[in-house]
Amino acid sequence: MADAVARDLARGLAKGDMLALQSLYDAYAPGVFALAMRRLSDAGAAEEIVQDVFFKIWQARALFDASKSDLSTWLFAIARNAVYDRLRNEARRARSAQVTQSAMLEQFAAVEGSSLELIISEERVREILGRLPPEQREIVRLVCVDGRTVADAARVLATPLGTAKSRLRAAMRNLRQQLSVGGMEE
Amino acid sequence: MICEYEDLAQRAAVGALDAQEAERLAAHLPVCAHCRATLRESLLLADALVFSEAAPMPRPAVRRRVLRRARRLRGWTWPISQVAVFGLLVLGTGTWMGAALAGRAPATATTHNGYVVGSLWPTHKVRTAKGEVMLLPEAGRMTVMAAGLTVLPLGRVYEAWMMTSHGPVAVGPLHVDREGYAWMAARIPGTGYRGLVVSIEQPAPGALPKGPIVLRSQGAAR
Repeated sequence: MADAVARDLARGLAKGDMLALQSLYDAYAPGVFALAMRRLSDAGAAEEIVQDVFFKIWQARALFDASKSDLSTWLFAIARNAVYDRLRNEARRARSAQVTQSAMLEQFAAVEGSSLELIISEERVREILGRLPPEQREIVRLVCVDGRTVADAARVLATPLGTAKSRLRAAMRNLRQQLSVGGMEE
Repeated sequence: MICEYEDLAQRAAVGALDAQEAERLAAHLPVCAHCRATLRESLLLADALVFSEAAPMPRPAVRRRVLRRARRLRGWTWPISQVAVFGLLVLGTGTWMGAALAGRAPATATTHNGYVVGSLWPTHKVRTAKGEVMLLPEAGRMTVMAAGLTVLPLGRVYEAWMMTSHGPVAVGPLHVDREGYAWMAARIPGTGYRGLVVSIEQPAPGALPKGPIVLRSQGAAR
């Protein structure tokens, strides 16, 4: 979202303008919902996260400082916290000794120092995604965005599983490298 | 690659490990700062990709609940029956309503700071219907809302079409509830917005509207 629009919405939110909240919801509810669905794998829980996130934003609207952060980054951070808090609580309730990927992920969701958090804006994500070679972009879309398994993605792309895995590995490394470079530049 | 487990750390972030791999990585992480950093970064990256690129919309009821809670917190107490109507009225229609009531022709669309709002008018097919379209070009998203639509028989759907300088582009189906209200949010499907129409189509319509048009923004190509 462009700075001017974000400022406009932030001003509207600060004034308690419902139109601003609606605009924000329409623009970002899909992202919050998708993130919650990906990590929680439960549509009901994901919808609760969406409600909580936008309600928190409404309650905390006076705290948002458009000069320090952009709206999507702020929203992304609130959404991530809500999702991983939920994951953490569920892991505690389950009290399972079994190593699950989600239990492992919630431990590592926090970003120490928050420097990376600050540089991941929507524009930046699209920019670095756009720089990937097409075959790497395809596998990232299928696995990371659409949530398919690597085997499923390999079938869709009509490539051997090993090739799909190595493309995903290369793509993830490329993306991380670009983010790190961006971080240093900033 | 600095550590042989780096690939596992990356794949863990996108949920692409089997149980055995997850156990191996979990045992390795406490002793490897590099893989912990890899997992953190990959996780943040994977989340950012999903947040920015995925587009499933939660059910419309979620939106209504969010707005209702926010309104309550703000001190508004609207009757439930007016909540859906609020959605239509709130999109900058105060000015528009004034103009319409005074008998002046409404604007095709009003461009505000970064977003575009337009009104939808009924054709002779459904005289009771009205609607609003709102575009947030910078976010690439648009919202269409309508009221007064009749519920269609099975095998027919309302389909929204964005009129562009290159012709109509399908936006998506507009689901109507039993009271005739409809709401949808979608990605803006093309460039060069010139208006919006809603037509009655068969499910999975073709590239062009074929059925009768029931709502049209002023100025949308006929």
